[in-house]
Amino acid sequence: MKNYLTKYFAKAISGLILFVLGSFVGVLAHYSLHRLSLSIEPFIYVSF
Amino acid sequence: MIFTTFWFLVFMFGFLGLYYLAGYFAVKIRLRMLLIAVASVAFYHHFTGDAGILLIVTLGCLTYFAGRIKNSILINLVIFCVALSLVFYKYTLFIFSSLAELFPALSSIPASEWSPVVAPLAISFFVFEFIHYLVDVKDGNKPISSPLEFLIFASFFPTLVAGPIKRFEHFIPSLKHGVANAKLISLDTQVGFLRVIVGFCKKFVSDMLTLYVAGTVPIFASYALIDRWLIFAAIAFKIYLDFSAYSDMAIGFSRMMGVKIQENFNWPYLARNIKEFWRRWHISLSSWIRDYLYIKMGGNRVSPLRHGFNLILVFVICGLWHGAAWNYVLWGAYHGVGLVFHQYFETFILNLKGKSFVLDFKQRNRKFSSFLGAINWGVSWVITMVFVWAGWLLFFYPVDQSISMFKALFHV
Amino acid sequence: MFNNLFSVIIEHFRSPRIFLLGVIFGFGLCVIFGMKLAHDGYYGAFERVQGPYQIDNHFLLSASQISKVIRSGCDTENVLVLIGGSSIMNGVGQPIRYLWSKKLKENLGDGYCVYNLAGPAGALNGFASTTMDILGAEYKEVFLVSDMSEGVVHYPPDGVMSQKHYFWDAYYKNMLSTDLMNYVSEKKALFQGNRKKLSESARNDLEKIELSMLLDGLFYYNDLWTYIDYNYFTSYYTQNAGAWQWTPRKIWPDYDFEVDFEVLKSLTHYTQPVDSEAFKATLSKYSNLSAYYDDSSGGEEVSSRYLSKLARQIEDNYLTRVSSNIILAYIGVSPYYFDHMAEDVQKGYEDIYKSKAELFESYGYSVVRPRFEAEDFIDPFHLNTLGGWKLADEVADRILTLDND
Repeated sequence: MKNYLTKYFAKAISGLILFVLGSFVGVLAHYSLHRLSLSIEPFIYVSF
Repeated sequence: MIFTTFWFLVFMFGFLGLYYLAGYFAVKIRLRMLLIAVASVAFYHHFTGDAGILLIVTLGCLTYFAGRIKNSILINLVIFCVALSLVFYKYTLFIFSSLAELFPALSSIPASEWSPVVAPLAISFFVFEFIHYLVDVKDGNKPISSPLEFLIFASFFPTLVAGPIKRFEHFIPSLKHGVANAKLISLDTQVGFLRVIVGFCKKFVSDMLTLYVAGTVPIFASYALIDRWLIFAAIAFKIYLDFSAYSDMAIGFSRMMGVKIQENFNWPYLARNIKEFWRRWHISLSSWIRDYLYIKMGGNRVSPLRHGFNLILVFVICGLWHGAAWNYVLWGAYHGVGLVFHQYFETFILNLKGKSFVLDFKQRNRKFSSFLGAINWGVSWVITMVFVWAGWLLFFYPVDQSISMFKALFHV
Repeated sequence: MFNNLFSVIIEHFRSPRIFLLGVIFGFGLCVIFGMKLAHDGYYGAFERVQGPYQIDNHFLLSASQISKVIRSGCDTENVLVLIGGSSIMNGVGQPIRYLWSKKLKENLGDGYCVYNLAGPAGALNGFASTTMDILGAEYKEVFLVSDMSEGVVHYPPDGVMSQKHYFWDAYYKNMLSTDLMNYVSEKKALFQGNRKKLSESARNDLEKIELSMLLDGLFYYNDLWTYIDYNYFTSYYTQNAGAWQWTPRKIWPDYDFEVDFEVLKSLTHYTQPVDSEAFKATLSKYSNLSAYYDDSSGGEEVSSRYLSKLARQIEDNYLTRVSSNIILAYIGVSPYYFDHMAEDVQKGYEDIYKSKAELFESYGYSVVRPRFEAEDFIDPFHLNTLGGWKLADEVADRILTLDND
């Protein structure tokens, strides 16, 4: 029983860690898209 | 950077969608192989146009057939042709303008009229791969028999533009494994995607460092000493993060396709000597240079003087590979000299008359040696980093500016 | 040794399904937040689009945010006045306290809302014209004020490079009027033809802006991450940020320091010596003086080829359809500099202005030309507060006249 529980918790914790890591990667992917929109070559000001 | 464009992202994820979908068909291996080949050609065509495609196809065909025929004279001839095309496309203008400086009479001929203005995208990479293929086949390795597999080896789009430089003995089995086993929900996709995101993050940091460096270098001397060292480090990290980001993305995207590509960087800024640095920096290039230039020239089985000369020559070529300009040559020579110095120091000073006095000293002073070991670790690391980072100054800036920047690091 | 540390770790957590779910969850959550922010808006009230909110300082102003600010700050019973155009209209050289658009609002009085959406390097088409289209149907009347600088009409509806993202943001989020959407598809061939004349890098940039805004229409990444930039911290190193590096955008200062009015007056540059030849070169570069000088008629009048080209561009411009609500201000060059020009340059400059103004007026645009003095300028082209106020008076009068008609 104890062995079963330990196994179960170990699996649940590793799953949770992986899920959190995955979410973090998902957020970074979303941020990456924003960052890619920004990196436009600087342009020379022609204000008139 | 091609990987950080929306065009590429749409292309890549569109491709991956089809690639995973192909897994549901009975003929998935052939289908996926075809998909990779078509995508690679489309990718290369998008960035270079017809002319670029023609060159890679011609050189690829020559290499493939020379490999199949396995005649060593023919192989040598093709190696010569492939190398010549690299020299022609990348170095004609450089050689000509350097000659024109020596012989002013030459400068009356407009070089730009007959020499190529822009080298086809990624020529330095695929030419090195072709040479590796031919040399290995000549040395007795089994050539790639399927033309489709060879086409993929020659034009595999994740690694086409900026490496890592592949080895076919490793790549083809990995490719076969990948097309047979790739799945959307798999460890490969998980690891690959994470690697791609790590690459993106490195690239973003490197972009910011680029802006920082661009704004600060022109007024380098006006900064306080600590800031100058910060800028010095920023230059070093900018190139490391940018380049390793590219490798991360190439490795990551390939991994998402189930294909494992060799690593290209192994924490190079932890190296404690210059030799170790080159085992950790741009590994696919340094190992190529080791296998196909350094060892072919005799490796370390030649006289110390010849060995030193070979090292410098090999690194001058390595420098020139990075770009057709004198600062790259100088940068290569600088590293060559550094390696020679390291080699001689190791052979003649640390290992006097074949007996390591360092080992001897360690055995006699056990208590003291661990303390000395730590000091040695730190000092050698600092010296290596200052040497390598100063090299980046030569890599990016004109010689006089590099020297004055380097001097400014040491006086207030 | 420990290369690609993350990969090594993650290879020990063998549950790709959970990882994938996590990725979808994280990404999806961001999309939902982004959508909510685009819908609710986070951008605060503003006096003008300052430097920190320009794309070259790594900030993407979104059409959703600006229209939200206007909707919440201005009742639809009011007349909406939007200021577009270049840095001159933005009021570079004028502290916020004495900004010309504030004076314009004061002059117009109740019943009018004024929003300054002009930006450095901006033109007639841009933030303001796009906003005019988005809000046109909601307000009693919308006026667009811009300067008549060279280049103002040479742009497709998305405007200059630094403001294009705004148009495509509105386009892919279905905020534009059906009329404008139809116009864009009608003129596709024309825009693509013009694009072919551009350099490769400019073409790539254009494709990039459109593609990024198309994806933004699906994933809403710009609204979410500019929100974090604006309220919490700026995640991009910005060369012009100075001491405000990494801090929230909303606390970044305006580029014109708040100074006392008397100090402000003493700061004007109008008495600096002028190198006539160098200045003529500058003028030729940025104003279309060459159109005058290259004329086959021998420099007596403005080239008809130039004028017919301009006429075609005005005709092609979507804004010509609403030209009766557009006021173009002619600012010209500081009289101090004008006086230093050779006579033929002066004549050329005046002639070009006259023919351009006539042409615009013939297409229904209103043109105003305040009489400026040398002390109204902070440099050859930009107005200081004194000049700005003159401009405000003239523009207010014209708007009131047009509105009463």
